[in-house]
Amino acid sequence: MQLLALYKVFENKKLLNIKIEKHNMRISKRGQVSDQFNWLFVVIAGGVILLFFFFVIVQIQAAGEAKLHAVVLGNMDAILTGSQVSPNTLNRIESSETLRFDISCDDFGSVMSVPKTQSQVDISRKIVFAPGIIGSNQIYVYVKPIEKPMYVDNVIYLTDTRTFFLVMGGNSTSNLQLNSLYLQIPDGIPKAGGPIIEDRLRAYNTIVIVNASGPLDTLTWNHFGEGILRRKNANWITVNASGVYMATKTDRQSEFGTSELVGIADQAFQVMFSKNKKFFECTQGKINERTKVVAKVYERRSEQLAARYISGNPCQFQLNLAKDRFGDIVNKITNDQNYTAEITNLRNINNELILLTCPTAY
Amino acid sequence: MKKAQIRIFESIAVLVIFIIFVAIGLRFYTTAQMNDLRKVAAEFSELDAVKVTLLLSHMPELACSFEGRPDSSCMDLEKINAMKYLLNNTPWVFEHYLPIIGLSDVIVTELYPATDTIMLHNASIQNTSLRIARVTSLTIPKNIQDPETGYKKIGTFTVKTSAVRR
Repeated sequence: MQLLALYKVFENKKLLNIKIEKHNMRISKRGQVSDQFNWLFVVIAGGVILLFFFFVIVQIQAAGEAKLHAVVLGNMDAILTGSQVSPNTLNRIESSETLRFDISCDDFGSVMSVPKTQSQVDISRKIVFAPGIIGSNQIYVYVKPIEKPMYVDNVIYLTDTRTFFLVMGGNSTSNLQLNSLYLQIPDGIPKAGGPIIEDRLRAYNTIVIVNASGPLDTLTWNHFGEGILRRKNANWITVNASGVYMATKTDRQSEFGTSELVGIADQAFQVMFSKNKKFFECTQGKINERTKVVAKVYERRSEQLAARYISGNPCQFQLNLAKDRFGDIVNKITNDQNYTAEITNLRNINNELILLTCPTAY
Repeated sequence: MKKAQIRIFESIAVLVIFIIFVAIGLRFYTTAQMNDLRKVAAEFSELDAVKVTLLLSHMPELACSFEGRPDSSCMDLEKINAMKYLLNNTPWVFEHYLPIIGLSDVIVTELYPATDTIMLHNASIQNTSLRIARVTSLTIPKNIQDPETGYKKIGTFTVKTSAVRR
């Protein structure tokens, strides 16, 4: 009996130990779950906070860049406006940082933009020619007036120290047209009128080559073949009696595209400062639009002035003639026709008005 | 409440307070940025007024001419009248000038010997539905010449440019 009692006590104690062990194990598991939850919580919350700050920093950086681009473009636009009203001047804009922007022109207007960004400023009020993307810390702004024969507007020619103008034979008088083009490029803008100096070309991003008859001469082709021009943006312009032809090449292309007729020989200078045919035609369209509007204003002015004189007065007669010629210019531009004869005619009428001491037509 | 639950609530409370502080910080930052942007917008608006004034006062359609050469120091009275007429009566001419003078009042004032005002363009008539944020006015002295007599009057050229609230 005693033995049996002892055995039962022993059995109960064993059972108790097992129970205590099980209880301890349960407590330990709960602790483990709580610790795991805490870690998971910290990792997720920390990750979310980190992502949030990362997002905020990226947004702030993007906003800062956009603001900087807007300020730079706004200031550039103001500089161009200032230059626009000062014809026959060459301004050099210097910056400690490289300025990069592109000028584009389409049916909706012209914009100046920072490449690969959304930043842009409307420059439809200006007539701007640029031979490619401007990317330098020194930019040239050359302003020339357009007279048809009346003063129409000032055209802005934009280039930089990374663009080189190579007028083949421009420094000799054997071809007067090329010589005139070479001389029209103001001193200060990188240019050469003779053969290529290899080392000079290496330093430039964009090369504008002008010659009298295609194809390019052997010397140029050799340099092209050796790779001097291969990694560059280049425009090849041919100027002769039948007009101005243009072929373009970007640094990814190994050769020039088809040479196309883009305009008359008188437009060669504007073609030299155009990145492609489409850009030239669009900007030329803006010049025509300006000419048309100015001619319309002068037509109305001549009519008003003529009405102030008594019938038969020579001033009235000449002013009425001027009014008709301005009207012809408006109509011819509308119908995309040549108006060279009207220009000559108007010049003569204006000279006649000066001789008669009448108010001039333009 | 069990100890573990209290710890979770503690962590959540810390997070909530942290988020509140970050939100307050961001609010201050965006307010400062907005003020900064408003300042930049005001500067650009003033710059725009200067640009419009500069462009218009140098336009060959308005400037005097001497033997075919433009003279930007004065304005031609007949050109002003011609342009005013065309702006009001010829839509394609108006469309051409719209990007320049769209939201601007352009006023030419004769001061001496007689006083007279020519409203070349009145933007407020055409844009009554727009919410104007600010108006920048710029006046420059200009001689106004009658091309028939060659007689010059003293006057001013004023451009009031409006910035639209977006």
